[in-house]
Amino acid sequence: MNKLNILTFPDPRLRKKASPITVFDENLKNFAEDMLFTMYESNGIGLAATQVDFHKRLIVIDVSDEQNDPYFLVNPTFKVLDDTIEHFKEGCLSVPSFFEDIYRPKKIELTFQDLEGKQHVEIAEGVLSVCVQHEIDHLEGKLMVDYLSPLKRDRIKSKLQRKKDDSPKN
Amino acid sequence: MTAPKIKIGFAGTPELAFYHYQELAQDKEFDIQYILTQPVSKSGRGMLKSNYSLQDQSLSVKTFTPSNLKQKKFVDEVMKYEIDLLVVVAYGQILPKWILDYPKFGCLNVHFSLLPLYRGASPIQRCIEKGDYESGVSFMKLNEQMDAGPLYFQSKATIKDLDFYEVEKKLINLSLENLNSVIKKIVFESLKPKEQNHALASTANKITKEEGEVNWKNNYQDIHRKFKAFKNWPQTFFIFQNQKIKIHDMLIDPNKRGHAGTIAHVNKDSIGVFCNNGCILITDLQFPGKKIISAKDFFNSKRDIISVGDSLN
Ligand SMILES: [Zn+2]
Repeated sequence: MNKLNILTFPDPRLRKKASPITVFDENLKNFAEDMLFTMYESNGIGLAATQVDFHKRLIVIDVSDEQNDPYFLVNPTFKVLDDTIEHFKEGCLSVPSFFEDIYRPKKIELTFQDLEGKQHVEIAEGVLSVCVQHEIDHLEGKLMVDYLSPLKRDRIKSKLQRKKDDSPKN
Repeated sequence: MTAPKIKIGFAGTPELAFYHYQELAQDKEFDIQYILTQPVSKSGRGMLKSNYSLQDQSLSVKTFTPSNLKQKKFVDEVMKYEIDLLVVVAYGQILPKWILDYPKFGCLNVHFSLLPLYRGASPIQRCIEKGDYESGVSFMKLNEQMDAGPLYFQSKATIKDLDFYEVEKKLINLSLENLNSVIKKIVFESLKPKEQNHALASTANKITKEEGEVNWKNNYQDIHRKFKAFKNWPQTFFIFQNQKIKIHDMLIDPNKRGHAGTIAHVNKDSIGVFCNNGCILITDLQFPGKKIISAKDFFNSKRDIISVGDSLN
């Protein structure tokens, strides 16, 4: 398994819109495994293909405490079941070391295909709902910082840019 | 996505530190990386009386019990754990500069007084001894000067008429109520600490055993406050015929006057001893190596030992 490179805000590639997956082959499975490995290694609970510069509609998620219950979501979509707005302190592997309160609808119905192409429908609440919405945003080229005030967004941007300039090139 | 987890190191030793550890451990937003604690045998007075233990192996957290915080092996080992904050509650050892500096947000310390008042080892006791109306907890960023670091947050509590155990309990609860939210504000909301007003600082020196001895020449107010303040340690006592007799409970009578240190009465309710401006009524006492007895027990079995007019000085 390979650890993939995660793009960091404000990298413009994070703004690309991902296209649907139509081929369900070994390559897809291998890539999904690499994504999961990368996510675990980075202490994430969700990772979208966009973040590793692969612009197809693929997401990996694991919100379990033990990190042993992974979900692979291909071509995921959702509709809101309960539009009560809740906030959660979200972090993002593409916006490292920032955690911000983001407001999202509470309960969703999630439709996705697995790595074989089989379709599933699930109800999601709590962290899972937050995480699915966060990752689907990535596939649309949207980031959690887009929910913040321009002032806050710019502050995060300059801090991350400074960090990048400081770190050694490899 | 990443879930917000704050990486914490915890340094603490006695029971009250354990309560703070538990408060942190049950919060899903925290990830406790390690515990720093004093070895059991080295923990000081009053720390072994209960059956808690931060050294308990059942805690699934790496535990360090270093005797030398500057030893290279220990330093290297701890430095491997990247943490946002080291929470320090009654650890019992001075932290060297490298520890103060290495966590991302430094070290957070809980002190049981309204700083800059009562800097030092015995803030709760000194505050009761002085007869203060209120006390509180201070969350500060540790620096190299004792209890002089800048303050993140303070919370006050009324402590009028309370004894050591009652004040301690009240302040621990106050601390636990605020601990987790203060940490989240520091890490998530960049809460900055404010410098203490050093001009107003006072100290709370460590209590000595000798301070437990009653000075009958004092006012009843002082004697009673010391009694409440020193209830856990060293307790209040007087020497009579070379025996150290502990006072476990007392009342006061401001209206009865007499020569300080002289026995005013011995009856079923109390043993009265005159002080400077009134009379101390001892209602529960203890002879060396014996169990605690009431004034009534004393009257029934031992009243011939102490009689009216005897002097305790
Ligand atoms: Zn993200």
